[in-house]
Amino acid sequence: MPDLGNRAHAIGPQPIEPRLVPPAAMFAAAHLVLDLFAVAGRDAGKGAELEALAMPKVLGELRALVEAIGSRPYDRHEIVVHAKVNAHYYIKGRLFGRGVEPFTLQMRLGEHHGRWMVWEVANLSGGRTAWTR
Amino acid sequence: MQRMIPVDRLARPDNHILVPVDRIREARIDQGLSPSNAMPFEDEFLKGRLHGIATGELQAMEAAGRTLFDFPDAPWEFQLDMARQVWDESRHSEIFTRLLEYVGSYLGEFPESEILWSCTQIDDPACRVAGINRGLEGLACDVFEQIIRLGQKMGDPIIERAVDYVLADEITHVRMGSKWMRKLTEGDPERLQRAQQFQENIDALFNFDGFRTSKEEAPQNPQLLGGKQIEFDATLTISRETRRMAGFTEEEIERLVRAAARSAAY
Repeated sequence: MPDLGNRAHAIGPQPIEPRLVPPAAMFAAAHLVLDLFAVAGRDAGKGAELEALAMPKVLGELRALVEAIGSRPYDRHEIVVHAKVNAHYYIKGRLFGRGVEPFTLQMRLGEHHGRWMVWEVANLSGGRTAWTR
Repeated sequence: MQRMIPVDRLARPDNHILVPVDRIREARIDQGLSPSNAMPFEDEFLKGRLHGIATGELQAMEAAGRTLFDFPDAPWEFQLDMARQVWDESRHSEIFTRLLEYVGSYLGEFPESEILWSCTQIDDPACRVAGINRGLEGLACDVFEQIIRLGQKMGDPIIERAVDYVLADEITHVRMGSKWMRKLTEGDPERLQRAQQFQENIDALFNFDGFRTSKEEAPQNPQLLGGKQIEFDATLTISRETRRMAGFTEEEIERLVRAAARSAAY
């Protein structure tokens, strides 16, 4: 469509559907899980809390991820990005701590009997990025 | 720069989520859905399908560029055709990124799988174009024809015309693939057979456990799309006329339709 020299004049086709916003409860669960991952290697109680939020089929991978995170002093996190597969959500999260390299992980959350649970985890630390050769 | 980059080394920006296709299938099974791609009868089919195509166009752009780089001894005209394809696919990526916004989605709303990139894992340029240009772009012809019909049924000229514009290029890409598959294997029937087999393996990969049929045999389901209640295909469809335009023979089309039907039997 002609913008008559001013790009702001070009409205163009308008969206036919609204964007879907993921449920706030999913983000709350993601933050909780990332908090627990940060300390599970140093605190057995938190480790048990984390396992209680995992589906049975992912426990092995989850324990391996906790071991990979180890007892490093992570004390904060960020959610880098999320993506959805129907009603489940992938979350890429990153753990930060003083004097340690950030740790990147990915997990899939989905509701199970009304509770947001961990269905899948992956260790993305040290993996290939757009900038590695 | 490394040649023949394997699947697990496909790099993406930090704010992208790339998930192996087996994991995406598992995520769908965990939710009681069929393991394959989003089907036309599912909620968010249009968003999910357009998103898959948008990431597919990015991977197609990378694949054509990779084919150009991976085979420096290929004929100059082959390299020129691959370079042209990179240009086409970059334009397609832009079109589908904007179409995503049009349907209320955005690039990154769904995870990207590496299944299309996995179809480039071969070190013979004849096989590479057989698999990508004839196999994957042939699939694209089917998928785009279905979306064009969907746009027509919805009364949406934006979707219909944007995808039709891209489909014109895909038909050219298939023809390029046919041309170079035959030229590069001239006088070497075994090499031609390997290339054709590589393409058939890729065709089989996308039969979606029986959810792929000819257009004529697709059952119709009621769906709500763009605020309109319409009847539309319950399966992914093979488009005979589009594939004919792309230069597939009747025998090749029949073989594909029969293979898709056999997939349903199991």
